[in-house]
Amino acid sequence: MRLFTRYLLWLLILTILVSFVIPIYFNMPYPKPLGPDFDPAARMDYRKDINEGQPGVVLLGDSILHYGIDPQDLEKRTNTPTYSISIQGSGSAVLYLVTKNEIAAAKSKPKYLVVFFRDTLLTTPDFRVLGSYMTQIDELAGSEETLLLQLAYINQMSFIEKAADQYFPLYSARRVIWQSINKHNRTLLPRSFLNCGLECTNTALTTVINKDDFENSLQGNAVQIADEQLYKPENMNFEERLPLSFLPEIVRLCNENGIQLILVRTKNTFIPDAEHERPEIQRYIQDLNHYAGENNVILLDFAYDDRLTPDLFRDAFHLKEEGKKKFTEILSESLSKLINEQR
Amino acid sequence: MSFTSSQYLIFFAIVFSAYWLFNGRRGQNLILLTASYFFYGWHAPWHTLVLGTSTTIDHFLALAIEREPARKKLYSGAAIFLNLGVLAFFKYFPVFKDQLADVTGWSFLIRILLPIGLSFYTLKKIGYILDVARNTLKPTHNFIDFALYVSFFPQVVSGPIDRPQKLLPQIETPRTWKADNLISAWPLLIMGLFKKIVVADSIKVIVDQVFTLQEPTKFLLLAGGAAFTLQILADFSAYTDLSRGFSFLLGFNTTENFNRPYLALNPSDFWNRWHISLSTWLRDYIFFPTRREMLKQRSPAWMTEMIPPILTMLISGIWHGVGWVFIVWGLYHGVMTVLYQRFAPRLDLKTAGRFRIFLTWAVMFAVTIIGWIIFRAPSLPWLWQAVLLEPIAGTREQVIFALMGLSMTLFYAAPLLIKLWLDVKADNASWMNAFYYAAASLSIIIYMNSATPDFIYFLF
Repeated sequence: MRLFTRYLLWLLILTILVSFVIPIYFNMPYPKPLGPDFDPAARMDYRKDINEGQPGVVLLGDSILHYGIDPQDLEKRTNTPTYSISIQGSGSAVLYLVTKNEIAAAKSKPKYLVVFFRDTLLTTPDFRVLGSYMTQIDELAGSEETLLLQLAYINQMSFIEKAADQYFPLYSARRVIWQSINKHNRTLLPRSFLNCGLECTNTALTTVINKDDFENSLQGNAVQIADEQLYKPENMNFEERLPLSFLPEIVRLCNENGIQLILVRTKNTFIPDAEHERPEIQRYIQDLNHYAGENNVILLDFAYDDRLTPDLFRDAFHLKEEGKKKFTEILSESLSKLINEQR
Repeated sequence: MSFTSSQYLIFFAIVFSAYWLFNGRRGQNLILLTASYFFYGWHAPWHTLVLGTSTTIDHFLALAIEREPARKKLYSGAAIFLNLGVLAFFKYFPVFKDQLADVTGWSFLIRILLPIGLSFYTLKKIGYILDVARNTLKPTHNFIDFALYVSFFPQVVSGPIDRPQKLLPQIETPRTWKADNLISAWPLLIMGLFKKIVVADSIKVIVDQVFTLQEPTKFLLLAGGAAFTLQILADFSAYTDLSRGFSFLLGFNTTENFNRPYLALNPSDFWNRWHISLSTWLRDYIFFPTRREMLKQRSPAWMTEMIPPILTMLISGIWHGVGWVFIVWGLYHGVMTVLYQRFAPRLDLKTAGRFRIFLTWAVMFAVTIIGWIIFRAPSLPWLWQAVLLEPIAGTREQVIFALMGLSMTLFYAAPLLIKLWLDVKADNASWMNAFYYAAASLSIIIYMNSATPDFIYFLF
């Protein structure tokens, strides 16, 4: 009991101490507004490229797009200028931010926006929004992002989390503190031995990972384990998730700006055909198809396309060079048809 | 449900409240049994059928052994065959389920998963049956008590593999709330959460990155191996701490599973400190019986020295997973045990110099890290390539990557080393210890987010 009493005393002292120090050190208001703060100074900027290049087709997705489609080849095949925005590790929050802040906000808007997705990604707003994913969200977010905060963060918070976020500074500032700790612990030995700081370390990591062909099944397994969120029962109910997701807003932005939204469902080697697919996902895609039809959205589903054979994949989700050529060819057939019909 | 998820905290709060409202043992056991099956069936309700059916069969087989001692070999053999058969089926089923689904046209087969915790509670039940057959344990006639012993939710998923002699008497006696329950529980819960959320989940990033590279250099392999050495201890001992903490809150004192394993000076010492409940199970049900039988058969001395440890560790490897890496890992530890017993000089800790003790420890620690590299490797060809064909250091970027991994390992090992020092040097109720727990609690808040990556040992 003595240890417990002393523990409680230390906990109280430290809690009071950090509750005073943190708002002062990080210049945080108290109580803090719900959800994370985004730094408007940190910006990714695709508008410039879009305004200069004036592409007719913009491709948007995560690393599956990067490894899956050759934009120059697609441009030749469809005879339409094409620009590709592939942001590794992006979820629907990133897709929404790019659509709103970069594509719909560009002076020269594309005629077609092709969004690459898998499974329930489009209606899982809190997928890939925490931890290290917050950096890219921060760089894409503007100064006022009410919908982003509400759907990706506040909606996912319980009553206790909301109270902690507003009134307990250590909890509110935990991301910034974690990043600071991470920055130092990663670079301790690289800095000591090779004079390599944070940027140098991150560059080295990216170089090694991008250069390496990941062990096929491992990467797939690692990604699948990390992405179990997409397959939670509640996330596989399209009708229930739709109003709580970014998809209606992405659709609205495209329709209001005269951009034809095309959703492309990509393939993975875990689920080569419909027989292997979970029935809930099959129902989800049927509902998505129905929604797309009612809202001027085109859905292209390549999830079971048997032209994309397993030997074309470098891992469960990403294609090799030959696979990239093949998928570009397959996509260009569908896109050319659409573009010609609409001309 | 993971112990670190919000669903589990709500679940436990409800169970805890309902449980202590009852005074009677029977009511408490029924509540715990219901809660255990609810917990176990949370992700896949049909797994409770496997648990329930096998528990029922084993209960009645144990009673049959007591009733008809002349047929105990038949009944115990049947129990072991059924238990191992179920375990082998589910462990190896993923290897051929796709082909079976294609042949039969039963697509639901693809979605059949290994019931979590099967490896753990199977050993519990086999140990129970064997102890009854050996007359070292009287079987319980109360089905609820036995079912609770097998399915006790703080242990069902990843152990400890408590012996019936330890847990059943506690189940069979009424529990009353005492302040000691909280005093014993809270440090375990804090350390469990800290080791899992702060240490294991942080270091996992590096481990996953290194072990998914197709061609890691030797330096990267070493850095990844060191990181995994930390990760597996933090992750698994965190689970055990949480399991014991929650058990204490319910009035149960369960088995310690780790005793500073990385301080071991030889393989036998290591296995007396690592996953103690499994090691002692293997010792009592595989190692000693094999050795006794070989001595009885007057086998040559070298065979009696070699075969029991190698066989025991081989079975341990197979138990841990499907694949050649686990077999090689098991054999590696078996061979190391034999080599140490045969060739390592005896070390008297009272008279040996500090340098000699340090050297002995360093060699054993290196043996341990090598073992974990084998264990974590995705495949033998991958390991073969990394060890034999890849360069030692590689490019500057690869060296930086490896140094980053070692940096993070040292950083996240530091709090565990500090705790070790405090346990040795400071009084348990000291202000320093109290400060450590308070700082650990606040660190948990910094590191927590809404994702809860599951404990490593869920895979077994």
